[in-house]
Amino acid sequence: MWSRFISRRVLQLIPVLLGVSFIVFLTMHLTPGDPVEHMLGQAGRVSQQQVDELRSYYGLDRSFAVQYWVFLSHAASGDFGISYSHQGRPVASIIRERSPATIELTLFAFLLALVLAIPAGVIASLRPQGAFDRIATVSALIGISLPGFWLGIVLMILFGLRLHWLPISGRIALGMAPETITGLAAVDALLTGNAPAFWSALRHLTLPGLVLAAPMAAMVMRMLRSSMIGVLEQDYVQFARAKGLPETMVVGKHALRNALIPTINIVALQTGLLLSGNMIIETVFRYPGLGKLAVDAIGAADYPLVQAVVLIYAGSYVLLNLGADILHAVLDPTVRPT
Amino acid sequence: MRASRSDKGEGAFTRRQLLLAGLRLGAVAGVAPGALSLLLAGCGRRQAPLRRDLVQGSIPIALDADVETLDPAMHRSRTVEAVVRNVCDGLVTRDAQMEYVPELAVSWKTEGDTRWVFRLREGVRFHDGSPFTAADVKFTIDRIIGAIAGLRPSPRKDLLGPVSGAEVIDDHTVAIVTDGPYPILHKKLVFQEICPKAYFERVGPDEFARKPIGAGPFRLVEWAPGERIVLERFDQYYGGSPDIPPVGVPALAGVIFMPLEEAATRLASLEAGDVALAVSIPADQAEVVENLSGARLSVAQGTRTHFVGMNCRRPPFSTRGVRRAMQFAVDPGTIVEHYLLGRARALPGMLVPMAFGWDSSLPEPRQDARRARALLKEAGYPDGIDVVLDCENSDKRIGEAIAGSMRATGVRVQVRVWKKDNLLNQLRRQERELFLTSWGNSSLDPSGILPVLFRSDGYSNFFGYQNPQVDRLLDQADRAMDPEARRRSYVEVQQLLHEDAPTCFHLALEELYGISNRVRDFEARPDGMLPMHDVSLRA
Repeated sequence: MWSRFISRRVLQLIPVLLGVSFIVFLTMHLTPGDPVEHMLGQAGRVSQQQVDELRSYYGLDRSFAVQYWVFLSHAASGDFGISYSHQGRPVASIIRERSPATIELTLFAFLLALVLAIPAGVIASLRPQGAFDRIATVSALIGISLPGFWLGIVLMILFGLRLHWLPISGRIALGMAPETITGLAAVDALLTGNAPAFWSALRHLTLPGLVLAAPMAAMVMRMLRSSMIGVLEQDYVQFARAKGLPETMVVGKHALRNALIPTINIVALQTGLLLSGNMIIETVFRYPGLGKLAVDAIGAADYPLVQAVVLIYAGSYVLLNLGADILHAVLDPTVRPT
Repeated sequence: MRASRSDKGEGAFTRRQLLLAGLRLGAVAGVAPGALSLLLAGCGRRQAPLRRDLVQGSIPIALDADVETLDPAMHRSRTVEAVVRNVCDGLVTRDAQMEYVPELAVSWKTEGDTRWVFRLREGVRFHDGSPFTAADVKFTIDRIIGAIAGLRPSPRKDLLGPVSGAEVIDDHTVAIVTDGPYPILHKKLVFQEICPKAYFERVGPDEFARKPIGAGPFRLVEWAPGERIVLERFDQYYGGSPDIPPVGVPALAGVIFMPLEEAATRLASLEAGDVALAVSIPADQAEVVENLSGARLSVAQGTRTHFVGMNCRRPPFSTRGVRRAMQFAVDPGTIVEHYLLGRARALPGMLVPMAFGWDSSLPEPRQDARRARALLKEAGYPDGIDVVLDCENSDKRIGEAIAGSMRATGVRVQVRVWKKDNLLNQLRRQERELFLTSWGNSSLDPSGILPVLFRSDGYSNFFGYQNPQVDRLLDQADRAMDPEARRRSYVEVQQLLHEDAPTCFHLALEELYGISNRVRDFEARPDGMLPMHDVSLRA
């Protein structure tokens, strides 16, 4: 039953990606702005012939349908074509260069969100309406409400420009980059035992990671808090207390475990949202990942590059949702496939 | 029944189920992107860390744009050119005064009107140790003009005008052949850097775009896209152009370019000492740089002309009187003084004063409200005109200043802002009536700006402007091998343009650089190049 459930969901990926690719393709083509114009900048005495040559080289002289079909048939075999704005470099190789940065930032934000949210949610639930709960609730509200670009700029000004505590852009200090193994700077630094590089990578991750993690941490904290409050009122918790178990045991073992179940689904869904946050955060912090690449590519009307990045984002999002559904099914037998 | 079956036995959660849940979550959140990373990144490309001494002896430079390729033949970006120029030398270059001097060429002469023979410097080596010969020059030219089958078309082709090929005469002599006279070939060659044929053919275009080598003073060590480009001194460098002393290997251990698109970030990095040179300081931040204790402001007159254009085929600007009125309606002095804080120069026409053939006899632009009103009345608009001024985002402030300054003269202007590419597209199709835009001309030769914009069939004739006399004069200048004859033609064109008035407001912004006090022997240049060969750092 599991294999059928999962394979059906994976097959659903196909129409989703097709739909996404079509919408992106259509939107890019409807947007004014011509990739060849962009490529030539304000090229001086460019002849119509030179423009036509470039247009035909990049297949832009063909009809929309043909262009879309060519894209699809190549993409099916993993070939995303060549980038316009990077002057004909293969899209796959550009994405390969940029993806480790995004993966590192996303993982860091994911961990940071959990490290912040789980203890905060538990402590807040122990004394609802208490001082800590109020502070945590207000912080969560701020975390959810503040747009990332604004929070990012404010933190940059405060911690970077005023206090000089943290770097405001890039992945690692100049000359500190460790030997590349996985492409994730902090992980590579750990693997090569390079403590200064690890510290530098961590410092560079802190501000963008924090801004990216803020909404997720807030959501997870709120969810965990309310489900903890519910669980703590349950009879079996009262029973555990009556048995004379220490409070840490009651909360940490009996209550938290059950409260985590609804929270885990939120975590999986929010992890998907981290991806969309990337585009803004990476642009604000000049963090050289896929998100910034996508924003730059949109500006340059670089259809193939935008297509590929959006498809990767969409695919990851769908897979994360699939993961959440599977988790839900594992944890909740009533929705389990039969 | 689906639900009831599971009610008793599976309703409660065992340790194993939770563990499984946690593992799956881990799999989704961690392993999936990790796997994607492996899939995309592969695990084969190990890269060694940068040497500490290289970083310490290098000059860190903040660029204002990212670099999308390092192939000298495959870009139209001044930023790419400024970086690549340190890696690859060209046949001809310019000194700080924008004089043309030989670099990899020793000398040149013309044979007839269509053949230029270049004598090449001997004993020059590329970064892989191979010698520089005429074959490399031929290869470079052929690749740009599209004479090599199977390669992507170069967007720099038009920068070589009517060049039709190159011939190797011997190892150190090459002839460049043009289709018709091309008096400015040597000026245009400063925009092309020589690429090594053998290396290119060995590694292919994609690898070359990421790891180009050349015969320049620095060799590329690392390019981390979006982060930095690291160059290291090339110890076998031939020394550079003898006309730009000192000749020899660079004093710097290396150069590190970092794209910092935000001006505020560039400034903060300069202030913090993270970069020693920051390009494109906005006019309103110039004072901040001047007040820094560890850095100074360096100023050069820019080569880009901002101008207001009018569509000569659409009313009200189809009437010449209205266009002439516009010349008197705007107050460039106030705009330069108050909006641009004096960091610009108002111009009487499209050319900047240091350009070849600049006509110094044109009247200085000034506002004359009475004259403007009178001209408008004469043209049939006694109540003035209501028009929309289209400009791109970055020019919005200047656009609004223009609109404000015209109000008193009966020209009521509303400013409309566009994304750069979108506006350019509409301008090329001559769809806008009144627009503020700009045109860069770092060649400082009128051929880079006047024919493109004002020839009847100019690819960027945004004005619908047609004047057979202008066309004829531009053609004459194009073919005249005698510089004096060219100059005369261009002067005449400038006067005709002033009378016909397809444009009415011109200014050139200054190029402002923030330079750390540690940097010796570098000043901002009009062409925006960043040659680091002669620069050194104080300890």
